[in-house]
Amino acid sequence: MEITPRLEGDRPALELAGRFDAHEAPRFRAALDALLDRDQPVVLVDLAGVAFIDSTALSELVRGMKHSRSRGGDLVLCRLSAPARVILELTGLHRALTVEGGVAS
Amino acid sequence: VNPTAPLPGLSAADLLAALRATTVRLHLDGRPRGAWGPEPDGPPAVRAGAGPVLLEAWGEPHEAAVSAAAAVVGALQEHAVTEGRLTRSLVEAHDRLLLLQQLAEVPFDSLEGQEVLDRLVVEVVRLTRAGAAVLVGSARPAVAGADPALRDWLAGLVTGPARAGARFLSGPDRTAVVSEGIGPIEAPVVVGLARSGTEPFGTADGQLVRSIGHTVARTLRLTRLHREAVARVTIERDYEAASELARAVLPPRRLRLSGVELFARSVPARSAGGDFYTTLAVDGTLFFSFGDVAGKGLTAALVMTRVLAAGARAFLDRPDAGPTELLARVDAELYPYLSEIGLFATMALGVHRLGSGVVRMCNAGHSPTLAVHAEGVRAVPPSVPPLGVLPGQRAESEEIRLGPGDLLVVSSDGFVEQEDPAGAMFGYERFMAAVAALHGRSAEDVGDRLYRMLSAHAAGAPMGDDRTLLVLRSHGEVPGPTRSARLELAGDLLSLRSLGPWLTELLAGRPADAAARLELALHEICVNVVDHAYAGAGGPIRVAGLVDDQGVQLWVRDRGRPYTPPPGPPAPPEELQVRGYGLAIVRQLVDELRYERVGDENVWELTAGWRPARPGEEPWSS
Repeated sequence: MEITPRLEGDRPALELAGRFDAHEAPRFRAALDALLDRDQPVVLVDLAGVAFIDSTALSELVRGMKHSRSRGGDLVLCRLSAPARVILELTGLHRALTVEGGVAS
Repeated sequence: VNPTAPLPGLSAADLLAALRATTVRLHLDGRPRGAWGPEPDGPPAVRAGAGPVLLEAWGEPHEAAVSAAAAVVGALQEHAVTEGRLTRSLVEAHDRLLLLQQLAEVPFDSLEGQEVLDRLVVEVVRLTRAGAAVLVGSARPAVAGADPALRDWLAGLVTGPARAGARFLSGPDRTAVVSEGIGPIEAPVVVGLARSGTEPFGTADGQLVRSIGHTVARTLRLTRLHREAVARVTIERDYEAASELARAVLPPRRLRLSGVELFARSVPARSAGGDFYTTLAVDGTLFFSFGDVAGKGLTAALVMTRVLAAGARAFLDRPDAGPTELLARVDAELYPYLSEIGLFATMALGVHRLGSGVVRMCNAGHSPTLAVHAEGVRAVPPSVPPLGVLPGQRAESEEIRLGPGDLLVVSSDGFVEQEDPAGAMFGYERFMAAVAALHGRSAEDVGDRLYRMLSAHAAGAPMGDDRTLLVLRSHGEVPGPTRSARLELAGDLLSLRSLGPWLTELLAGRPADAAARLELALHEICVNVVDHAYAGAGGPIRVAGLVDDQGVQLWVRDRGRPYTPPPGPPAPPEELQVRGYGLAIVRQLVDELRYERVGDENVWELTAGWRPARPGEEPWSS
């Protein structure tokens, strides 16, 4: 999975592309924690390029969200790919996580 | 009689005045007991009295008054003697009562009848201070006493025929009292006491030995009842455990596999009888075994789990083997065990290549096993006796062709032998007729109807034995190509990446969303295996799949730790659990998810039918 940090306006974002699964989860955690540690409590996660996402990856998103909310920020998911949207709906987590920007084309 | 006050309330002077005598003397039993007045001269003027009493008076006594006085003294004397006797009896009775009470309170460490007698006889000797005592219950006589010769003599006295009442016996320098025939309910308890010397036992001792007999008989009866109650509770627990065991290892199963429906259910009787069944599907082959371990309770249930596991293991080791070989493997494993514990087990087992429309099976002593076609019902007879009867059996394999709607019905004898309240069995003929009438119905419907029919027949009569039923319904040969494939993974997270390409190849030409949907499902199962079953240490994961026109089935097998479901219901999404979404996701992606621990293997089975995508699933095709 490719993890590309960028800025969206003044908010830091992580752009994910490829396979977000149990094997990749530790790398995502490291990248996210690096942002949160730089006192950036609101982080965007761009899922447009995610072709496969599993429950371990989902757990990482939930963990990151709890972490950022505990610092007064949030983890915002944006531009969901079809697999990402499906797994959020299967688990009902699309109602609990902050999702903006709708589904990626 | 008081010398100063010869009669209650009467002084010597009063007495002499009343009798108009100068001197009065009293003799009891010929011995002087009282004298009032000065030493007299000459013979008395009046003598009166009867029995032990003699009253003499000097002077000019009133004869009638002297007679009256003698009568009063006689009455008082008699009263005193009676009072003394009563007091002695009372003391004796009290002693006896105390003795019996102590005897009844003897504590026991054991409930064995013989040990109770042995313990009691020692107490009898101690409490009665007899030289020796003997108690004879249902077992051998219990004898106690310090003097062996006295003991042996006494023991020899009680071997005669029992009779009511007490016998008083004497020998050279020894005496005994023996009471026999005590205990109206129990075997009679005989009690004997003996002592050295010549003093015979008395009537009171006769009563005593009879009372001891009653006490001992009662104690024996109580210990027996207690023993029986304990045994009953033990059996009850045993049966309960057996039923629980049967419920745990025989989960009801409803399955729709490619071209076949399966229904299996076991309702263990209160005293579970050792019925069993297994159904396994691996790599496109359905395996079933069905049988009954002789006997009831925990032993039968424990043997049952072993028989069940042996069948499953034989199949998992060789999923492509025929039924004859599978049964031979089971027999080879179980025969030494079964013959050692002296039990046997019926077993029918079969294999069915999904979509083939053919069941191949072997039957070792099990009935009823019925093949139900539109033309009629045919019994599949056993070709060898039950397992554990003869070593090295080789059963014949029978090939049963099942067309659309045809059934294979295997039941336990608890089904056909269930009685109605009048004691009439459901019976083979009725069972066969009932099954014949159900041809064409779904497996689940057939199963439910047979259970209902049986309940109606029993009409509240107690369940005699386990009721176990397996119904296999064929859709006949499934047309169209059937494709199967296998994949072996190393058991680390990276190895799971090959699931996608493998599935894409297996599912080529099938609905487009299927590969993505099933990859996620398989992936989640495998992550679970890597993380939990193998705890990150790695280990082989074997994946197999079977695809036909009806749907797809996937199996994941590993040799890691058994899966244990998390306690409690899943948390709602609002609570944002960090983990635990995996299996919940899988359940939504497939029609059926089953887990089974078979031997040292975890077997996950995923079934999904081809059907139009539901609205929420459409994005898969994008």
